[in-house]
Amino acid sequence: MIRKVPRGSMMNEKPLIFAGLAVFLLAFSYPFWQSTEDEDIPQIAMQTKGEECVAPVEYMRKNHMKLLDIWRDSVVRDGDRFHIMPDGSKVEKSLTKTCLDCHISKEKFCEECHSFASVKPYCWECHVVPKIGSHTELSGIDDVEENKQNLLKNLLARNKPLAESKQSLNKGGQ
Amino acid sequence: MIQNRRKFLKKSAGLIAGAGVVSGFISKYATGFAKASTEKAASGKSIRWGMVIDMRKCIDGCVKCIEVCHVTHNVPEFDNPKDEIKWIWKSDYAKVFPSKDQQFVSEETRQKPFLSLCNHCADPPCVIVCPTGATFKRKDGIVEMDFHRCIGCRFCMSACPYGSRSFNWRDPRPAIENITPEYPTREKGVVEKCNFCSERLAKGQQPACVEECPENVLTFGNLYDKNTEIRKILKENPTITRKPELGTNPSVFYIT
Ligand code: SF4
Ligand code: SF4
Repeated sequence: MIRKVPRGSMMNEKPLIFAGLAVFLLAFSYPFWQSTEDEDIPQIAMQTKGEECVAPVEYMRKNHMKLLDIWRDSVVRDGDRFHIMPDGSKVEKSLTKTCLDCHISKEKFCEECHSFASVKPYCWECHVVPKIGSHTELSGIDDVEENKQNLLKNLLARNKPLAESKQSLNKGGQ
Repeated sequence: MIQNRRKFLKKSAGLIAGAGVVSGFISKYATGFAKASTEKAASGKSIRWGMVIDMRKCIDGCVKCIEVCHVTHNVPEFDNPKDEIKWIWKSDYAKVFPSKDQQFVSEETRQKPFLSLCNHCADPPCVIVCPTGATFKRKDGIVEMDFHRCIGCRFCMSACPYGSRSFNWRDPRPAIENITPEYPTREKGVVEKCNFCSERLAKGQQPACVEECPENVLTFGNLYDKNTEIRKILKENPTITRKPELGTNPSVFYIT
């Protein structure tokens, strides 16, 4: 036996159903459309040395992990250790020796963004974080500490949005 | 019925004979191929890195090569011998050369602690068993490890007939006194071994142990180049390799 649902009652529930659906969709898609305010995004610490990055900045922002993967495979598997810069000069395909040679601070350059984006790469389980004092620009210079401060100042000047968070770091150093 | 069986037997005999001939061809081809892979010397084009260890010159008690290697590559030092990690070490003659063909060896030789390290075999069993390709043979003959890919299954450790490989049972970082920043450390659960200083070769340097040895015990060079020092030494001295009967074709040679 088939029971007939009275038509009228269905019509009455329609707005309710759609309202519920809308609420659900809104809540479900919240993370997708809720855009982060630009100010929240950490500014990447600019290079302190050299004019150019190994690849265009826009590419690096999105794809640095891919580039590091390619570098890793080419160094370890093919023994191909050098990256040719746009101006024809050579740099080592190395996170510690090349990337962090310019972007001297791992805390500022890597970690600020990674903790913001909640990603946890495990490079540093094995690779050794270079000491800021070991920066090649500093080699042969006596006062490592002073130069470290200078480099940080440089970094601050070029990178205004980071200035506030840097100040605390600077204060700590003085 | 009998007819059928006879036919069947005849056919199968034929089949077996045929298979025998074919397999004979295959094995002949295979050995020819293996020979070609280890005797590329004639071409003189490619590189196969190798080492000669002149044990006559090695000083008892000297560990300079071991120290410099282990510092260069951040090899941890654990207190418990079960956790030991080693890239190059000294071992008893009897352990290094257990093969039956070494008879009536002089007392002096037998008493000497022999240097051991990865042989960078031309036919490395460790490479064959590694399920992830973490252990692989480079074009220049170096048996290299890609620590990123090692899953710690330790197949390679059981495949290596020389005990050249060590496993990180514990986090190695705390067991390294002074970390050398130029070279990475390892993680817990990863296998490691000598890499013939591939990172130094890339810069045109000799392996660290070769450079450090005060007695020139170690000679490193391209085995495929007839004009190298190493080939000269190999030509002028009788040398032995470890467990030759296994067919791994080591690239490390010993003068005893
Ligand atoms: S322990 Fe690592 S290197 Fe050895 S076989 Fe397993 S994956 Fe390969
Ligand atoms: S000595 Fe052992 S680890 Fe080295 S290549 Fe030969 S089998 Fe592999």
